[in-house]
Amino acid sequence: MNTQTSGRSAPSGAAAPASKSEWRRFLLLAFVGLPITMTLAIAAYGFVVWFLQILFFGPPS
Amino acid sequence: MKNLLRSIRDLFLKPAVRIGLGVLVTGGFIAGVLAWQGFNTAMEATNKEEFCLSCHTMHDNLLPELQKTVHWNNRTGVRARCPDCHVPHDFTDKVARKMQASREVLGQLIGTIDTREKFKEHRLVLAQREWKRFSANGSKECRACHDYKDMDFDKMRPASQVAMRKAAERNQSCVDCHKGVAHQLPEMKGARNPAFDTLVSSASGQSVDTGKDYFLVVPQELFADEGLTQRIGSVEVATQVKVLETKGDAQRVELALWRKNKGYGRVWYSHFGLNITSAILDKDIAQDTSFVKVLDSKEDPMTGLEWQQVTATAWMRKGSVLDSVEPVWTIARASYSSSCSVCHRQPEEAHFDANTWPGLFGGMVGFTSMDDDTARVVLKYLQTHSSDFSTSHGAGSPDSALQTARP
Repeated sequence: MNTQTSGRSAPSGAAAPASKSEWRRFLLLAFVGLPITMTLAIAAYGFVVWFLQILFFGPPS
Repeated sequence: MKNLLRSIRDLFLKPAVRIGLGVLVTGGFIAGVLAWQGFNTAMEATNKEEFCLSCHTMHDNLLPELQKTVHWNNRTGVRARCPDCHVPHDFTDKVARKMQASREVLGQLIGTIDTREKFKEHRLVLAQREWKRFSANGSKECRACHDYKDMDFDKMRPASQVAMRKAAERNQSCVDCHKGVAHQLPEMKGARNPAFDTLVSSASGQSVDTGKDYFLVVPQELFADEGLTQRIGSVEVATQVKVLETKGDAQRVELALWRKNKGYGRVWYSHFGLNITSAILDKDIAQDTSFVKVLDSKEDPMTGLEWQQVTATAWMRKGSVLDSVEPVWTIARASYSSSCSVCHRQPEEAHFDANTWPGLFGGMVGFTSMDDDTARVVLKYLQTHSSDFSTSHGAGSPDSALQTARP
């Protein structure tokens, strides 16, 4: 792992697989991971607001 | 687990080796745009009428009702769809409401209201939940289309003008008065005021001494026998009775009331000359001299009718009396001030006399959401606190002038 931190100085033989896994991780994060996280976060926010309404605020004014 | 955490940390903290910064940012930007658009599209899809109607509870119960109203079709061709009224329009409240709908999804899955009968049974609770929401936000969703500031009061019918101008002044919530504009009103008959439950439970803990006077906390049926099989009438809430004996589940009580010596004399009142209903007997029993004892008779100078002071004993189910009538009046007072002040300032109890209240009250109670039991208690409360009973209050004081929003 540590050898890869040196970035561009990595041996060119390892470049192809590293680049492939990098692209895969980038696409997974941008198009799957983060959208799901966003949806979950908004849902969690909604639940928190709802529970606060039940417990303290009452229905929105 | 540790590996997962480390790979996540690496993912965020280690710079990319092969992909340019511009590509990453552009890719992230596009992904962000797509994700946000997708989220909004999904949000909108769940906010469509088709989505609401896709569950048969909505389709079978609420759609046909809405279709009969002006909110479904009208001469201007503007119509309200389910979410226009039932989903808050602001983001936070909307998301909270969407999450709240998880409860409705659960209800759909376990079939809480999957038949018309079950739906009707739950309708009151559902309606009250929605009314509460509307009263908290001042009917914000109604006012997305109908706002006070855009109303031309002069174009309204004169009767509407009075009510609407006042409502606008107070910035009143629409649904306070306009209930049942898009769906049928719930059956209020089966409604129970939860305040009575505490009353009934304290009545069941009341120790009763024979020979003492008590007050009924709920209306009761009267029977001729201790087995409670032969029904002879009923006695109203807050009526004073003297407990004579208790046997098993039954209690023998003595009623000492007044009646008009006219017709069958079935309706008994608590005071001479005042129409405060306390008991209603069956026709034949009311004429039975072995059951009813007449102690006295007086003529009411106002009506020329002869009133008889009468007494009778009857059996009723035990556990429904209290030694004080105040808890009953507390409920009545709360209900009176909250229900009536919705549309106008309620007159003071002592502004009218006991015989005026029934007519006034009967004309107004239809505008409230009081159930039958509560309405009876409130009327009795008003009558027994009317000017006939009040000593401190001058009926003519300007403070107590009746202000009604409905001419």
